[in-house]
Amino acid sequence: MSKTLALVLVILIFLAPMPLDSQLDASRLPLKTRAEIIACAKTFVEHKWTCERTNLNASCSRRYKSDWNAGQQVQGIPYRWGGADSPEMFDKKLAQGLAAGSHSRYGVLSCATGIDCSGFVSFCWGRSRSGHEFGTTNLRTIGGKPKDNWFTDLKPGDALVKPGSHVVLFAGYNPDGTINIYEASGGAARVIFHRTTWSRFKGYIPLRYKNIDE
Amino acid sequence: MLRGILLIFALLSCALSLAYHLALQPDRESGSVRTIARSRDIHIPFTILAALNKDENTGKSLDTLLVSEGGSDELPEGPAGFDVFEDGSLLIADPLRQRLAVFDPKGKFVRALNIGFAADEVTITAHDAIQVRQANTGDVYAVDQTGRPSLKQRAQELETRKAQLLSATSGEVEKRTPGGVPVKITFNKPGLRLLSIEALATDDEGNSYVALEATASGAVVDVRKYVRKYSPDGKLVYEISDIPLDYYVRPVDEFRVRKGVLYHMLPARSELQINEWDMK
Repeated sequence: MSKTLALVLVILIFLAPMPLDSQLDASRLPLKTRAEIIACAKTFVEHKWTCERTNLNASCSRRYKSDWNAGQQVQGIPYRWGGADSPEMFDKKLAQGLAAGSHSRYGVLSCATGIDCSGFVSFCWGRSRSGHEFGTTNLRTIGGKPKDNWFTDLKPGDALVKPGSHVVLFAGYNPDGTINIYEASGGAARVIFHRTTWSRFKGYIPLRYKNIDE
Repeated sequence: MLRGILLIFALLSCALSLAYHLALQPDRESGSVRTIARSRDIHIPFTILAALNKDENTGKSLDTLLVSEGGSDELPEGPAGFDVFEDGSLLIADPLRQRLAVFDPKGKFVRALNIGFAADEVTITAHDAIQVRQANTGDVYAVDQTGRPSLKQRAQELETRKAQLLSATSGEVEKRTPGGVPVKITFNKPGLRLLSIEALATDDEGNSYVALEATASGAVVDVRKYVRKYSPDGKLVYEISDIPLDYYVRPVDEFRVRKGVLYHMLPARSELQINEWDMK
């Protein structure tokens, strides 16, 4: 009897995550055009804000060091590891005195506001719920691998991902063959748009949002 | 009859010779080009800023460069830009310490310029003047010898020399000066496709240095990088093909050409490597 119970428990433990995965399928995500995805990315890049003195400190971390100065005017939603705040939510939290952005070396800080790489891509792809349910390791749930070549056939709004590491939104090819991308960058401390070369994406795979409205 | 056979034979020989010539034209180009091996590499140790560690900004570690480990879904951060002074000393952006660090040509720490912000790109202009880009704004500052920055220009894309990818095997870099000739790129390597072209520099003698990216395709992004030197009349002179791309910290600006030497920045797992190829 106890063996049966144990077996049932084990099966339940293994099956438990399955309903969660099924909730993440593309049919539950909104239809998005490429123009909508890029427009969303631009709102993160172009968002202007001022860092107040209260946004320099993180009440939940003693080690926290801000990337900004008091009174500094900034363009771009700040990078916050584990963050998934929309521009509206960011403004609200900033006004409440939360810290502007943070990095993994401080842990996931509930007392900071901003967005990280996977939070940014999944938000612009049409994340259906609040929170940070998609990371680089499960972004495949809502993004399929395009059949075409990554070096000629990516389209604006596709992504380049390295599971466990980083993800960016592809914006287009340049005449010289380099690419333009949007990314929530820890090094730049915010969401940025820039030109870059392919060698920085060695080992990445292309992903296309499953519910894209072509 | 015999004359007919001889004529056909002669025609076939001509056709074969022509086909051979055309087919090997690109190979002749790469066959005549001198491939250069790495002449030197400099190693500058990192101090790793691990999550929840104590402040690393003290003591002897100031002779090193600071790197963060990153985490799941966060890339490591650290030195992403560098340049080379007239005497061969290295200027390296050390963003996590909000400073620029100067190392001698052998990689020994010399001094720091505490600029007070994180920089991700540094450029040494005429007379060893320093220009840096602030990482979190994109603004460009001039920095004096004491490390004091003064704003030069607001964020904007730095001007680059125009290059154009024309096909999977060819491209062009615009002429630099009136009267100069555009650099015609021909890239024929079996199984590889040309991906991108970047004009890196033109030296005082008018030689052009160009970086090329190529791929053998595949489902995962896989890239090889080459740097070539072209003479003022557009002839391919040298090629470098052993450029390592195993970046731990993703560089913003990975190449510099100074006095005919190509410098390549490779932030590896535990140290910064500056690789050198003498293209003189």
